[in-house]
Amino acid sequence: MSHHVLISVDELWLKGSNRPTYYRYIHNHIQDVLRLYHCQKTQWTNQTQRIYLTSDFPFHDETLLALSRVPGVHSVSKTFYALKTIEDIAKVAVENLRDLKEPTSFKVETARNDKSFPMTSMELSREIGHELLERSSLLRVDVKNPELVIHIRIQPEGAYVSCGKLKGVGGLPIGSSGHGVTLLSGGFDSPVASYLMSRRGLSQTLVFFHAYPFVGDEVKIKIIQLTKQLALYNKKCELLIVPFGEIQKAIAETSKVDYRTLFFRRAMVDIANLIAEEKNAKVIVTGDSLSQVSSQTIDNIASIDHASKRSIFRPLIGMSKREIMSIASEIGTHDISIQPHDDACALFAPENPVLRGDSHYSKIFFVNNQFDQLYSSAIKNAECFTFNVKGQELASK
Amino acid sequence: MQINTLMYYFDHAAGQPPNPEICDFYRSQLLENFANPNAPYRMARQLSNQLEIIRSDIKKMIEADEADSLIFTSSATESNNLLIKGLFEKNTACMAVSLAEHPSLIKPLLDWSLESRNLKHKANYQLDESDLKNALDTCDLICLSHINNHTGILQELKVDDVLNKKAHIHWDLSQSFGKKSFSVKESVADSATLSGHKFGVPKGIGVLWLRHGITLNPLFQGGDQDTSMRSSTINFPLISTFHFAAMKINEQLEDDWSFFKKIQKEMIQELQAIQPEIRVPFESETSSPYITTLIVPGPSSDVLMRLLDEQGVVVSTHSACSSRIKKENGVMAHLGFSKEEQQQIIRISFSRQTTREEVFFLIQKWKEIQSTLNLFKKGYKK
Repeated sequence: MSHHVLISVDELWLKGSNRPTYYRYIHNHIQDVLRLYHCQKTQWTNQTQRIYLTSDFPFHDETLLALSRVPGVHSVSKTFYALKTIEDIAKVAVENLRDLKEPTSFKVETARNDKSFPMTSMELSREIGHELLERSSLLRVDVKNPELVIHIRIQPEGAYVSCGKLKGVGGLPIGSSGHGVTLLSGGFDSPVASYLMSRRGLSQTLVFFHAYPFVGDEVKIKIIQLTKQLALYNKKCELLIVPFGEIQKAIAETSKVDYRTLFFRRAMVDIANLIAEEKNAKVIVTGDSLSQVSSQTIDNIASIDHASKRSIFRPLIGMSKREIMSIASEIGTHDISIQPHDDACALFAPENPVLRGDSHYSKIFFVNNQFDQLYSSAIKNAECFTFNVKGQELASK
Repeated sequence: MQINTLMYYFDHAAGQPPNPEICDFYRSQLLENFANPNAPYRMARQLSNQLEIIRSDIKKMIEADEADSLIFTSSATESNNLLIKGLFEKNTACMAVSLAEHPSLIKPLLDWSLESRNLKHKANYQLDESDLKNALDTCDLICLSHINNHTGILQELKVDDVLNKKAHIHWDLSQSFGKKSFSVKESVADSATLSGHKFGVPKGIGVLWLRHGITLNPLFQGGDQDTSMRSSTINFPLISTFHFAAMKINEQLEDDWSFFKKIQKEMIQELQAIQPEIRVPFESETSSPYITTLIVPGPSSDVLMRLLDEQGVVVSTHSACSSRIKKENGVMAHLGFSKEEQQQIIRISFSRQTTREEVFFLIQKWKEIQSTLNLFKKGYKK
């Protein structure tokens, strides 16, 4: 028996001549998912915005969930083959609704890709709807706001029936927008920022600055957990843990106390630029949101931007904490981020951090103090982790 | 003790670095004396006989009677659990312990007793005598430790203080055996726990001494190997190693105590010269010279601990976790220290092999990390 999955693709149709390239990106990502979740031979059929997967083995719910997390995917549904007769279509639909336990409202949608089929789409929908009502006491029709949509697609070779679909994350396929370096911390914000950029097709190298010995090693466990969770939405997730303690010490020893936090930020962005150079990344991503903490005032953000060679994307800049937490819950990072962890910035922070940094002092400080050696040493001593689409760690070379 | 040229270890209260001679002895025992002492053939019978000599020798060290029981367990924690849960049926007895003691005394006691009583402390952190006397008259079981592992406070009880008592007195000697002499007679003890790994024996062995006439319901039921009070195949090699190490505890306990008292005082002086704000709440003439607990105002003490660790000096903060995830320190909370103070604890512990040079190195490194620690002093202007 054949098993089928229908993947409906988001936004790809906007891209016209770029479509083949985008298609290749999403194809590769889906291949990676299948290789780890459904390692049986799978056939592919592509049609305008749809990808059909066919296998001799059933697709598990886990696999469908994993597919729905692929950026670019609009929806995923299990699809069943039926003969092009009302009888068979209805039979297949009912069979796959046998797990239904509660009364459910539904409607039938039909699309015909075989114009030789005798009925119109609407007629077929009506007929099937009628058949289903007769065969299941739990179903009732609601064309305005159905809980369940039964989708029938008539192809030349047969009919494909899907009962309900899993909403995908949408957006653009990973890699189609380029590569970025994302600054990851243990808080709520940066993982959400990373996710939003994955959804826009940006592949990322995640960078965490580890303030050992000012914080303990426990925070690394948390960062790795977060990365594993984000890896579920990425094609391959790379994490660099950069030792930052020496640099914080060097800055704290030489700068004005109230500038420390701002300068730490600046150092992080400097290092991110160096890493971006190595990784061919054209952009840096952070979880800044306007004015949440002192380093995120307009002036301080501006002074960091001036110093950065590459653009800094801040997808959360206009979002409220509540909105950010809500996405964090959706993507599974909320409960990881909420665990308390040591904050070295709080350790070094003065009572009154500067809100509107003196840009002259900021500029002069980084001219007079050269941290290049420390930067390159930190990057050289960074720990590197790579995770696959299942969030499993890959052995390093 | 200097483990290698790069590490200076000062957490002996938690675990001892290995003594090569003891390890060699252990190895030889593992290779030669592998038989099960309860077996009927000659090589096993020999081990069984040796075992009785071992028990006798250890009893002599704590001035116990030959008729008393000496049970070998896997650890001090097991010994404490066995005593507390074996003496009375669950929920029948009134038991007393200070909440500043080790969790292996507190938890089984709270769990097993019908009624529990928290022993009070005086300002110098020793137990309040009248409260203790009262508890001895009214409770069924009292648990005391000779030297407290957090504070180093020495707790003693003399025969003259305890004329009539109702309570069974159980002593935990984990931190004192091998460092301070203890007589079960003079201390009115009914039972006592010893810990192997706290005086250089490999981990996995503890002792429970029990005055003759007392029996316990066992924790482990089975082959009745160590009398019916503790079943499990007798771990002869490790018991024999315990004995070997115990016999090596020389007579100079008091001399060493005085010697290390001097070193401890010098160390405290030096540390307070570097950081005058350091407090040493428990040090006194009677406290253990081997355990020094400091309160170091400033950032969470695990920062200091890690800075020292980086320099090759190992000290303890009482907690495995770092600042924000640190659980409350029950012992310190109970003794009246604030949450802030609980985060600022450093414990430095010696062994009898610690040298002056090592302590000197500790002081040097403490001095060196001051410039980094000063970065965290609030209000510091450059």
